Amino acid sequence: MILGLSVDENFVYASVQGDNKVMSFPFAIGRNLTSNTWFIGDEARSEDIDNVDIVIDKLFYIMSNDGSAKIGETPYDAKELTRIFFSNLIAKFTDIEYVTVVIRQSSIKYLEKIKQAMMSLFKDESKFKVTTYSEAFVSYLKSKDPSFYSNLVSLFDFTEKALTYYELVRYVDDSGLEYWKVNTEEHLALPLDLLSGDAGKKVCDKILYDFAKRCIKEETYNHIILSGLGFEDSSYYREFMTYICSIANVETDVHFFAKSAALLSNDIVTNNFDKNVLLITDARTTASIKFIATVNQVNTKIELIKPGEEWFNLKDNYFDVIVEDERVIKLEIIKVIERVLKEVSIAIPENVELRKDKTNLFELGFNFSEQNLVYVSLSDKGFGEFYESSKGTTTKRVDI
Amino acid sequence: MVIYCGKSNNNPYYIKEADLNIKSIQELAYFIYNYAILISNSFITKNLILYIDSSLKLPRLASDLNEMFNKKANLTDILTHILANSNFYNDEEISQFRMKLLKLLSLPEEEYILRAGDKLFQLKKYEKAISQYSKISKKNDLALLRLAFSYAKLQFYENAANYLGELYRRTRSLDILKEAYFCFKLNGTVDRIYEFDEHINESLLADWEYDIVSRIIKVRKSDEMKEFEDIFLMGSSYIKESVSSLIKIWKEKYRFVD
Repeated sequence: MILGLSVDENFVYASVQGDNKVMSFPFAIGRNLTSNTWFIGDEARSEDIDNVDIVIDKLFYIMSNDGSAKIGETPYDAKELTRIFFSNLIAKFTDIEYVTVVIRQSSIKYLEKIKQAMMSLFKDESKFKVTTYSEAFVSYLKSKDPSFYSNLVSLFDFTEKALTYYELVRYVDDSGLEYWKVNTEEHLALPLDLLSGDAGKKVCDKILYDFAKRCIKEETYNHIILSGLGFEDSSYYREFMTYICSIANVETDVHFFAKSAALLSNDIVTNNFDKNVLLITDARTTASIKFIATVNQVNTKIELIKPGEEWFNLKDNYFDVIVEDERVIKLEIIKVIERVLKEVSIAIPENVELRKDKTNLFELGFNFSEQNLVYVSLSDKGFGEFYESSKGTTTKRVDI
Repeated sequence: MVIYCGKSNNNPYYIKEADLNIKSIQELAYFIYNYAILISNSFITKNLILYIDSSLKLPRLASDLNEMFNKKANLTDILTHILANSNFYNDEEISQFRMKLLKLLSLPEEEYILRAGDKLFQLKKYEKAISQYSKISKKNDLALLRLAFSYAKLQFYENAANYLGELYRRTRSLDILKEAYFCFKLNGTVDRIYEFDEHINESLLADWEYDIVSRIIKVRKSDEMKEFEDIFLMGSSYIKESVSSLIKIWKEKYRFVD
């Protein structure tokens, strides 16, 4: 079974590849203290609260605040609750070959927690992937005939906590390399509660229309997709719908991201990726980081971080360098789409004295905490058993 | 200049000649360049070539070495080839290495062993250094002195004192006898000093006691212990001169220390 899961603030949706049905699970977790059993989603909410059962229906909020909740006498942190939730959810499916979990936020705090939860379940990263909605959007487009995305394709996602716009832009550079870039734009919080009254519906339609006017460019669009519970009732967004229908073909799929996550799972299983296409989404690095170093007596520009890599999955991005006579290492950061060059220097730790015999070995590390925010570190490693490390380290925050 | 070494390798290779581990081609090259005196034909093994291939991910170098190994190529050529492919030494340094190696190979055996011992001492491989110094200590005073200091480094003070006493018998240097006294003191068998000279006077012993206290204070206070060690790695005339001046400095510096 190839599975896709999409996560938002209130729900986790599950879609099995090849099956049009989508299952929804409220992002809630509960425990019956008498039977010592965990429940998730609607089952958790249906448990009888008077019968000493505990339900936490703000799991996403706990995740976002690194919070904790006490169940019975035991406190559980966000990481553990996330693990229990996904463990119970995955247990509802059998023979899972691969699962992809997508989340709107490209924030390490969510991605890491979900990834850790999945890791504890599968013990093996080759069985699952955790990434963002943008990546699922690309898989959906790839599943279509190229004529579907010969011009621009965009998507509005309207959920409980957010209204987000996605747009796929394609470029071909001078070398013939094709870039697929997903641009995103987020509207301020637009609560779905507004849709409970007529006045609120009108306000929502107006907001949607204004947001669409702001996001949509004066270019040709093939398709516009509407996703999320906010678009379930199509009767209220007439002005918005009239406007987008005048631009492109419009299709609505409330559970678009769960289904697309299943498509992404399938792409991974079948290795359906074009090496000539460089994908730039909010889940990927947008810049190349290089530096000039000597390799076999020749000065060479070395690319340490490539564009299009999944920044939150970059684990092994530590490199050994020997510094001979300079107290700084100069890095070149080139944003791939914008072709903007930025130079950054990282200094050798102050307590390190440079020896004359090329024995100052350092570890140059790159730690991404956001897509365009990387902490560059330079740590003294000594030189094998010949020279001990001073333990000196410098770290520099670099905004890409 | 910055040399790019790629991603770290955590798998070590043990060099038995020096009792140390290396983890990169640069460390291997550094060892060859600076400790060539410890290297013999048995240094190049199939295991080393395999390590270069699989752990250091240098298949081309490994393949070259394999060919040279099978053809029983000259050790100097093999070592030079490693240096040339180490992404560490430049052509000028490599030609200097060749000359250095030639000079080393032309050294008299006794000098060669002494220098090998010194290199091991420098690497703090005192057991290995002892095995080198022992080979020539019966006829070489410097080797005997360094043998004693290697034992002292391992905190085998009785052995150190005995060898220093033996050296005193050969040289009659009171500085050496004082070192022996110091080692006996650390061993708790200070009276054994009379086995080497029964005529030591009380005022000399008092001076030495004072020096010992000064030394302890100094060692505890600073890194100058290294300076002291370095002196003993030099020649015997240098030792006498340097130790005297160092002791004089220490006396002045710590005369009024409680």
